[in-house]
Amino acid sequence: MAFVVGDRTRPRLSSTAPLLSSFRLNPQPPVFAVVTRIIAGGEGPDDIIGTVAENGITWANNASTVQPAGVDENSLDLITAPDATTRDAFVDKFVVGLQPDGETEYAAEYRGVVVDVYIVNGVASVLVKTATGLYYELPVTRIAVVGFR
Amino acid sequence: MADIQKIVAVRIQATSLDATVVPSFEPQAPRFGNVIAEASGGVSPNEIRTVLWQDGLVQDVESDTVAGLNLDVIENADAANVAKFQGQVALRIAPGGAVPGDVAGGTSREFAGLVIGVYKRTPIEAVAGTGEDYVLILTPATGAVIEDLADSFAVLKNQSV
Repeated sequence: MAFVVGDRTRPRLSSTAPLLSSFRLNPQPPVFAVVTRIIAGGEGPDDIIGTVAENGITWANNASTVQPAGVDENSLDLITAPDATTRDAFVDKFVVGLQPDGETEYAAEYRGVVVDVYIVNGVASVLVKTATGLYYELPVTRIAVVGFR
Repeated sequence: MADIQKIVAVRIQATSLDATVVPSFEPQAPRFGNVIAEASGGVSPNEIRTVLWQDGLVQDVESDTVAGLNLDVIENADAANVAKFQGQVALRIAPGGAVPGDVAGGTSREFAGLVIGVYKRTPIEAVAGTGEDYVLILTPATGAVIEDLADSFAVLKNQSV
């Protein structure tokens, strides 16, 4: 997957279970980490040492279980920055999710502010926080900007 | 076996003294994780699954039996339940069925909430796809998160614009 030190990442929860996001469970709130070291995995996937921004847990030496080998990169999502066009289309916007048909809006309670725009494993996505505190993430193709605001 | 890369959550424990009632109704958000390593056999504990939880914690879950791990695998829910609940506001209806004259089915409106997720929980020792469908609900009125069987919920039709 081509991780490099300094990349944003998070534990992969890409069960194919179809949820608000079409590909991922939605922890509340989402948790991201920063890759701090990469251990070459030989012929297999690389192992990644990362530190979680919110709680300081480092996969290499957290208090629960020492994981000197790090975490297999296939267990992580790679979070990268979007291009300027994608970012500008959603940053500082009030939005709502769309059903898989790409047209039907979610219920009004799902309207919220964009708190992040990023690429998840190649898929441009938006992280939304609603007035009720719900976080949800959808591909940009499943997000509509609420107008007249 | 081959549990690596499976998405798991801790099993919901019994919520009724009636052994025939499926455990459900967990009044908090579940923590999801990703199985990143596994080992079986040898000395007790015989079964070990290393889980990378959603908050970054890495933990060995250990037991002498696979069932004793107390983990559920998170799988696809039935398509009909996904289409029914995705992006909707839902309300838990009374387990005993709708109360006559009460459109909410006997549940207070404060328990209505936004659907965070729809998925199937299948015990890790069971055959894939044989579990029950669940919905995960955030209730704006209280901030509570409720997880329960999907067939315990109804969609509120007057919430969309």
